[in-house]
This record gives sequence, structure tokens and C-alpha cells, in this order.
Amino acid sequence: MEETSKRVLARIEEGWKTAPLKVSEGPPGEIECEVPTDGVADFASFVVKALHGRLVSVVGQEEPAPVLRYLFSLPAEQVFVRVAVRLEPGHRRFPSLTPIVHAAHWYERELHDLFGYEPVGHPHLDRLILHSDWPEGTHPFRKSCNLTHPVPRSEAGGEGPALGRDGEFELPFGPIRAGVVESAHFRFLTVGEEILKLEMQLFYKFRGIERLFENQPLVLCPLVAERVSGISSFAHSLAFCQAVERAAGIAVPRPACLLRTIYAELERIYNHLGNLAHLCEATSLRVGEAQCSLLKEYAKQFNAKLSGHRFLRGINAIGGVRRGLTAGQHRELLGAIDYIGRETKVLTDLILSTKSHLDRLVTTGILPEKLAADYGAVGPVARGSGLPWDMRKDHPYAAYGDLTFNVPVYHYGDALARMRVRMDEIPESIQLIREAMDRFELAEGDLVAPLPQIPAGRRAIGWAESPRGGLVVFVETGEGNTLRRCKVRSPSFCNWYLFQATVTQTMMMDWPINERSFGLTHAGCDL
Amino acid sequence: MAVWTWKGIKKGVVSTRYPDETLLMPDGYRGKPEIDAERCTPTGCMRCAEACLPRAITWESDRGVLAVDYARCVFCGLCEEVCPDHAIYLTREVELAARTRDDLTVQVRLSSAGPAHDAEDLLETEVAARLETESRRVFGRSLHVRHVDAGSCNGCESELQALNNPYYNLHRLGIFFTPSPRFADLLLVTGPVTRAMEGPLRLAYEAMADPKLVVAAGACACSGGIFPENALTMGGVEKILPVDVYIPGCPPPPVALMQGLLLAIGRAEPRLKRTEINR
Repeated sequence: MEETSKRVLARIEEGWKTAPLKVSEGPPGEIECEVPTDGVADFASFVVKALHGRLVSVVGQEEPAPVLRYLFSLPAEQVFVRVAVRLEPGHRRFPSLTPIVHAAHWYERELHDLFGYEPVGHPHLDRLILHSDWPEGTHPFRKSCNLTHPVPRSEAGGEGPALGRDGEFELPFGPIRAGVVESAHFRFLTVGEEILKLEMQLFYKFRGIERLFENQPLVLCPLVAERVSGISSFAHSLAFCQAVERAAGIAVPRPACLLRTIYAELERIYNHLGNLAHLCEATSLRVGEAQCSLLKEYAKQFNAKLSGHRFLRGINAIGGVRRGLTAGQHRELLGAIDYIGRETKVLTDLILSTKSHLDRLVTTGILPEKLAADYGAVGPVARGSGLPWDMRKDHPYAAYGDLTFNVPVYHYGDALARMRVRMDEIPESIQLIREAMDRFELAEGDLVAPLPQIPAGRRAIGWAESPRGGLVVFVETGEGNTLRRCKVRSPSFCNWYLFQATVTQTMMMDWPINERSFGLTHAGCDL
Repeated sequence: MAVWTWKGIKKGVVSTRYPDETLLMPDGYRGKPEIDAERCTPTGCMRCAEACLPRAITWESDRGVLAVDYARCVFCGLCEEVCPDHAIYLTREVELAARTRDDLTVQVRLSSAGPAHDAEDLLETEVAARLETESRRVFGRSLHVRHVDAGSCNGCESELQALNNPYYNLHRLGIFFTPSPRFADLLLVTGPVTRAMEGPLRLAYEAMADPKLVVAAGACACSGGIFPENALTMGGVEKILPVDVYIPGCPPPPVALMQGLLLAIGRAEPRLKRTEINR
């Protein structure tokens, strides 16, 4: 067992005397503790309070036996702790962790909807993913639910109770909304301009994509990962490949680690430019929107030149990358990031001196630090509220452990803070690319390691810091180089609830600006 | 005070003149796969079909035909990578919009056995030509598009949003996105159509006044793409609504989206037709 894992294990053995634990070793920096069902809330609470763990995902699984795992990140030790609980096949009940670790709230509702596992004591166990026309008692990720046949639509349900009282205006919005945007439903309760309450119904885009990873030749799975959230395709396929590589014990060659870092930062750059454009659109700063979207277009065209795809798809493979860079592409890359860096500086200076634009962002959508921490915020949303959480630093992967970069953090928690985080991250990404390019010139090795025959039952976590925040993948291998289970937790799944929490007692006119400042996706949340 | 106006003027005009000028993807871009039937292993090794996640390439052993369906293709290039004979390779062609699913198919007959293909449907060609003239008359100079996300990965939305950036500048073609289906001439759908979006999608279509057009953009909307036809994903827009134009791609880049929209209103020609290759 690795040193860091041993240290964490020692602290567990020292601090936890209550219930028996079955500890097993995972890949380096990952340990699994199996606890009895009635002890899970207490042990998880210990991991959070005594070990300073952060909940990063919860995985339900039915095969080979019903089990659920809470995945905790311990950034101080750069270790992951998986807390596993076997469920009785009969009733599948377990004590809810949510009253103690609020960040568990949506995960446990997800387990309830998709598997029928029941978190006893969950304070808000309404349907999350399944809409009201999904029949009771069928759970789409249970093997007993045959998805190849249509599932009838239930008559029960409907619009739900009215939100407010006389004089209060209830506005339903979506799932089809104005403009080219993703589908989601919001229900506002307003008095005049003030939003008293916002209810969200998301998961209109729920495709059950996790099932597509199962029983599929492994070499095809990165393509599925890329399509979970199409504008963070690279980060998703990277986290997925790293999970399988860890499960299989594949060492990714150094040149591939460096290339992966370069492409991941190129993805961050075009996403952040897009976010600046969206914010300008929200405040009707038309020239700002045009110029930022033009620079984003330049970045996407450059992505296509470098990788054959505007969204950097088709590069990650299990074991490394599918293509390298020619000498000509080296030079072009350096030229492109130079240009992007200079033009970004011009645009961000202009944006930061446009008082009418900043005025709409200051104090808009304040997310308090404690709320963000309690509910597991990630990405620029977390870093705009004072939480210095970034998986590139917390659990270095690819080549990040060797490269120098800063993680910008702002404290006010408003839309301006979130914009400034992204503005500051662009030059950091450029710097990362330059440094990685220097090292790539000298790095020796292939671009991809061969894929071995992987034994069934191997479990591992993979992760990456996508432009919207940390994303965490859990895999368990099956027979013949396939997967039994793949759970993807994209950053937007963590952050949408926090967006809802910032909206109460704010102005309707600030809502679209706040939404753009969060910069989340629905595809990544809904899966 | 910010000098945005000066910034804008200094940048100048950056818009493409497509379709009056050609817009090419860069060398090495993963576009339409081509098959060189002569190089294919005589018995057919089928590695391309095995490497195809969305089942765009299939082997019909009873007919001795390797079938390609561009409506399913996600342009990943794995077929090219695994082919031992360099018989399949990706080009940088992305303007693949077509009026029928049939036009997006290629049948490569590897063995001499098998029945001859059907005679071309002349009536269909005549109807298509009249539809094109009529569409052009009604929508040719001004088209309002209502986009509906029926469960996409968001890649298609990103490329659709790019159409209004200064480089593509969709407005110069007289094409606009509109907030309501009541104002719309054309319904542009992305995503495979999830269970939850079936109802809203139908409502949007029914709210549109005639004449109206429907365009499926992206592999998911054209055919379901990587998503199977099951209780959660419906297998493409055509399972719910009549589709006038299919735009393959994953996602289709902005130039492909422009070609598809122009095709729908009779201002562009389709480049793909149902193809039969005999070896």
C-alpha cells in the first residue's frame, strides 16, 4: 500500500473504534472501507469531520450485489476514501447521510430514483430525475426494468401544487426557453421584480448515458464519455480513461500526460471565453459579446487544426492519446496561445472598465462560502466564493503535478467574482500550455500504452478539473475488458442546487446574468 | 470609459461570405468517411463495423454488403484507425445535409451475390424539386428558426450559438432564431429526443403555423446516434415528427448547419445521394 494511503489508514484506525471496518486497497491513493449499513452515516461523518474529507460522488450499483459507495476526496493527503455499504436485497434501505453531510442530498435522491434505494431520514426525498409521469416502483437502472420496451406514462402527477398566495405571480419557464439554450424548467414565484422562490425541474435531458458504458468494448467507451457533456468532452474522456487506467494499472507514457494537459487547458480556454461572451450577452454589451465570441471561434478553429475536431474529441484513448503533434503544429500552438493571450487581455481590460456591465454583476447572485462548502460546490462557482478547490492541485493528474500555475480565488461570491476567476484562469492555462510544450519537446516515450486483459471486479476512481469544476468517474470492470458499472459525476450536478439557493430575494432582471455567471450545463447534470 | 466602439471598428469585417465563398475545414479534420471498395479485404474483415459505436457501419452478411449510414456516424475515425487495408478513410467534408435518410446511405457490395438495387424513384425526385421551389418562394429571403434541445450533449447548441458570432453571422443570410414557435417557420431539433422532451417537442411543433419545416441537426437528432431506441431515448426526431432535412455531424460544425438550413429553404443543393458501390 502506498505511503499516503497508509497514513490515512493509520488515522482511520486510530480515530475510528466504533463499528467494524473491512478495509481493502484500491489503486494507489485510493482505499475502500466497507461498513455495516447502520454504521455508514457515523463513519462518513468521521471521514468528513476528523479526516477533512469532501464528498465527491455516490455510486449505486446492483450487480453483482446491491451496494452503494460514498466517494470522499482527502486533498491534504491526495487520497480518495470509498465508503462501501452492502444493502439487503430485500429492502435496500440505508440511513441517509444528508442531515450530516448536506452535499449528499441530490446523490441520495438519484439513488432512490434510479435504483430504488431508500435513504431513510432524507429531509427532501422528492423525485429528482424521474418526472411525474414515470410510474411508481420502476427504476431505470435496475436490471428488472427492461428499457428496451417503452415504459408507460403514469397519469398521476401533473403540475404540482401552486407555489404561492394571492398577489404573488407564478411564472413557469421552459423546458423550451427563448434562444438557443438547453432544455430545463424553472418556476418563479414573484412579487413585482422580486423572486420570492424558485423551483427547478431539471433532468429533461436524462438519457441514461451511464448504461451505454456497460458491456461495451472498452475502446469505444471514451467516445461515450465525450458525449456526456459535449463542451467538456476532453475532460470527461480524460477522467474516464484515467479511471480505467487506474483500475488496470496502466502507466500512461509521459508525452501523453503532457499532451493531455495541453488539450485540457485548450478546452478550459475556449469555455471561459464563451462564458465571457455569454455574460456580455446577458447585460446587452453587444460589442463585448461579438468580440468574445469571435475569439472563442478562433480558439475552436484552432482546436480543429490541432486535433481534427473543434471540441477536441477523439484524442483520449485508454492508455494515452490517439495522436501527437508535428513540429509545425508545435509552432502553430505557441503562436495561437500567444494571440489568444494578447487578445484576451485586451478584452478583459475592456470588460473590467465597462462600469455599466460590472454594475450588473456586482452583488448579483451571492453564494455564501459556507453554503458552497456544505453543499459541495466545485469549479469557478466554488472559487468565486472563497473555496480554493481545484482537482489539478488537490489530486494532481496528467502532468499537473510538475507544472507551475496559480488557482485564482475570489471571496465575494457574486457574479463578478465568478467572472474574475475565469478571467484569471485563462492566462494561467496559457502558461500551463507553454510549460507543458517545453517539456513535451524533451519527453520520451510512446503516445499510448497497450491495453492489457483487465480482470473483472477492479474498481477505481478517475477525475479531472473541467472548465466548470471537478468531475469524478467511478468504474468497476466486468468480464472480457468491459465495464459492469460506470458512474459519471459532472460538475454541474453539484452546482445547480447552489444556483437555486442564490436566487431567493433577488431581482428577476438579474436572473439571466446570475445564470450565465454560474455557467453550468444541463447535459452534464442530467446525464 | 470603455471604447468598445473603437474596438469593434478596428477589428473590421470578419464575416465569411459563405455560401458565396467556399468554407473548408482544416486538413486533418474528421469529416465524411469514404470507402475505397477495391482495397477492402476480399472476404470483408469487418473491423470497421466492430469499431463503430453508433452502428453507422454494418455488415449485412446475407447480401454481402457493407452499409454506411452517415445519419448515425459520429466521425470519430476509429474505422480508419482499425482498417488494415486503408480501405476507409476520413475526409474533411462536412456539408452532408440531405432531405432523406436514404440519401445518407452508402452500400458497398463486396461479393457478387445479392439482388440488384431498386430503380430510382422518379416521382420522389419530382416532388423534391417542387418542394424546393416552393420552400424557396416562401422562406428563401427570411427564415425564422425555433431551436428545441431534445436531450443533446450541448455540443450542437454550442455550434448553433456560434452561427451568430461575427465570423458566421447568420443574419446576413436572412436567417434568425426566434423565441417562440408561434413566430417560427422552421423547427430545428438537437438530441435523440429523450422521454421527457417528447411532449414539449410535440407541443412546439403543433404551435407552429403552416407552412413549416423540421430539421434534425446532429447524429442524435438524425438517428439517435450513440443512443439506442429505448424507454429513455427515442431514436431520433423522425420517430416523433416528419423531418425535412437531416444534418449529420457530431456536432455538425457551423458551415454544415448553414448548408442544412439553406437546403431546407431551397438555397443550397444536397451533396450526398444514396450510393451503391460494386466491387
